[in-house]
Amino acid sequence: MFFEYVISLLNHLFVTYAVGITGIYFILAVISLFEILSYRDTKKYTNYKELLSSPFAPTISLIAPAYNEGLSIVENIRSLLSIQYNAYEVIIVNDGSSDDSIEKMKANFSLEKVPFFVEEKIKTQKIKAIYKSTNKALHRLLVIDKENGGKADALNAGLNVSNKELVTCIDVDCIIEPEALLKLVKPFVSDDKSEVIACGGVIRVANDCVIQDGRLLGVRFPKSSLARFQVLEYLRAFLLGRMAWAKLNGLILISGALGMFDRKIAVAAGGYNTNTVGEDMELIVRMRAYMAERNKNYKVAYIPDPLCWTEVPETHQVLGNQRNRWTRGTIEVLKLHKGLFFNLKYGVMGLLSYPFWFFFEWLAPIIETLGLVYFFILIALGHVFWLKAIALILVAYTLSVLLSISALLAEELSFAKYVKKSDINSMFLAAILEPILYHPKVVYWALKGNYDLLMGKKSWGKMVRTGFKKAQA
Amino acid sequence: MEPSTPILTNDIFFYGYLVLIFAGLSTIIIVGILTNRLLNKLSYKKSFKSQKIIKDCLNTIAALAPDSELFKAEIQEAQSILQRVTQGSPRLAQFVIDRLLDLYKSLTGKSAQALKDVYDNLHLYRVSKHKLMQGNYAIVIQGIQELAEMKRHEDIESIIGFLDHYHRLVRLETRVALVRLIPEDPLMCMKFMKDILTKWEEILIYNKLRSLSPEQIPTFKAYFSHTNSTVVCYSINMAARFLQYDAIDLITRLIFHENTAICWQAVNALKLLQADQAAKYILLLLHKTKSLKVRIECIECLAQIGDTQKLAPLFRKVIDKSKNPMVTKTLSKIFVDWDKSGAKKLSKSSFKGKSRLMISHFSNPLIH
Repeated sequence: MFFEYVISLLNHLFVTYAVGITGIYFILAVISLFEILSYRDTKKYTNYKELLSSPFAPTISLIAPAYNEGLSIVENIRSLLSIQYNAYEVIIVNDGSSDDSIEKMKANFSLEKVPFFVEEKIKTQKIKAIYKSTNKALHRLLVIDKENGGKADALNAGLNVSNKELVTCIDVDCIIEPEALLKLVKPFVSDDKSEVIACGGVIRVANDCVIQDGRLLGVRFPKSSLARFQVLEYLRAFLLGRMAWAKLNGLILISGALGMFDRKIAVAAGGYNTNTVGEDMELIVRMRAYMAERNKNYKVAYIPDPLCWTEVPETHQVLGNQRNRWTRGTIEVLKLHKGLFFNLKYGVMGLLSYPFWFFFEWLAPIIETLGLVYFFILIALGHVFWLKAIALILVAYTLSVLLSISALLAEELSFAKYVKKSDINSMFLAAILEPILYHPKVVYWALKGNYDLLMGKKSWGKMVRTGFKKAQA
Repeated sequence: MEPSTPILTNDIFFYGYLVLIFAGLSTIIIVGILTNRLLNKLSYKKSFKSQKIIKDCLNTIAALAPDSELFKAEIQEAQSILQRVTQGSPRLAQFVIDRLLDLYKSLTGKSAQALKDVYDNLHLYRVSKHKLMQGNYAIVIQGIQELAEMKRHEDIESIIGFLDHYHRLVRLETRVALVRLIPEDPLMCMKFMKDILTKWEEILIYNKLRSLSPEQIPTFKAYFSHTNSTVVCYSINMAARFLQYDAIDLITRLIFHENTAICWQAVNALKLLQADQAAKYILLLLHKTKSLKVRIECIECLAQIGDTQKLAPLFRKVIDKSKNPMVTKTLSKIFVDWDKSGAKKLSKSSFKGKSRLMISHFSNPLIH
């Protein structure tokens, strides 16, 4: 009798969880699709270039931390210096690189040490020197050479040096679309109801794309199957997830690869946290908490334009490290801000976003694994009604494929970057295979992240990049 | 799984239906995407030739317009080709409008007039006006923008009603359009404006105002007593940007306004207008105001318009005593600027600590 009761209870728990997570993902997908259509309409009549010649356009600091990027640093900086915007500067933070990054920058950009006064609003590792270019054409460039302190510390050094209204934090090895700043800045200047404190854009996969001089010349679907699955994953996360959260004003994650922030609020909130590997999410949560605690009407905006292209891992080891880090980062942020959990004071963030991340981002792989273990126990005990079990697995599988296909629909409705017919076919194939070939690995890496955090692991893990494909001459 | 009290039905057909629904939806989306691509490709192929003809005709008209007397026949021929190509095709008509707008923005004189004639003679304004009757606010905005860009003064009546539209963005675009369409009173739409003026709208209106001739620039002081504080701030700023010196007296009175935003904007405007007659009032405000932002603006304004001989010792005292980094920074910058302009107020040795570092910072030509 007791045994039957336990089984019934567990069944209820697992089914409620599964229905809950599916329902929420579909609600988010529907909201996102409507938002994308609305954004597409807005773009038809918006001339972003009006900002180019205006003296009223907000000033921006583009902060790019660089650690041992000597191979591509010069090309990457050139690309950052050619972004379409008038009132911006590029701050490169050399975070104690052990390679020849700083020498290359000095030689290629005629850098000269300057007596720059830095007010340490946020504590960072020691700044060794600050350089400006003697070439007037490169007046936008400023290079900070500091002792190694990690990405968050480097970004904080950039925040200390910047005196512009907005800051854009980027990964130096990403390819930024020329119009990225014009588009990211728009929500900051056009909202009449609330103060926009941050804005994020879509990150896309650059593997196998054609790149020349830091410019994206041609979009190609990656050849590696691991990268292909990540294309789908990125589309789902960026187009179907974050669009909806932004609409609900509950977005708590802007990718570290590209995000724009109100500098004063980012600094007042304390800048990036150097004790977590989820520093990008942590900053947004803290900025939001800062505003909510002061009863300010604020917003975190998000735009679906593909503004930043990044190289994703193509080997299991590197991808595993990355996902492990993401999981640890999520848990650390949730732990640091546990006071938000169902806390009315923090509005949508406390009531929806935080619980969503807790139940459906952190716990999802754990519950999924427990469900699987439970299923095997039931098999061993002969408690499985096979026909129903197979039917349920099929329902879950087709649902998962439908969600991925919906992400492709979102892409088609918005930007349709993959134009070749073979690319579309490959994307469909990836959507069909992903739940079987890729998803189990992601669950495993997430579980390992949980385990590693318990064991006290703090490191970032090594990221090996293969480099972008060069344009054919 | 067979629990004693099943939470899910044991009816296998129910799950079968679910699988069919999900698989069916996926298939519909895939087929939809492929069909959409195919249709786009076919439509592109079909209209490719026509689009090329349209581009050529418009380029011909724009290029030959300055010598329209000589090339009257060629221009008329190009216009009739355009009429023939676009007849019965809303898609191509829209293509002509888009292309016309692109060209019109970068051309002036006879070429621009010739393009406007194409818009009028081909009755393309009807396409734009039709958009005003649509339910989708984005389409309405496109219609308003097209009519305004092509300077359809005769359609002002159709546009002006949108000042009361339910959608904020339609109201905004209408105001911007009217700046272009009513050059004799470009800001008339602001007279009863209740919306908050966003920075985006400020940018759009300023860009439109800049394209007007000097005699068409409105007298901004007429808006200084507006009930909407964002309009007041903007008009003060515009008065300064367009160097309307006759507004100085009114602006000087506004520096004591109870609204800090207006107060700051007024001080900033006096700085831009180099209104030295207002120096004593700024000094008064500097002692009176509690807002740090206003205080810093007052210091910057005084540095521009005040008597450097009198101010230098005063500022030098503050710079070493002030604990506020923003004040120190502002004053350091002022001293360096004074030095550069030949006032020679700077003696690095007399500055201490933070202020000394800031002086070196601002003295460096690569930084400042």
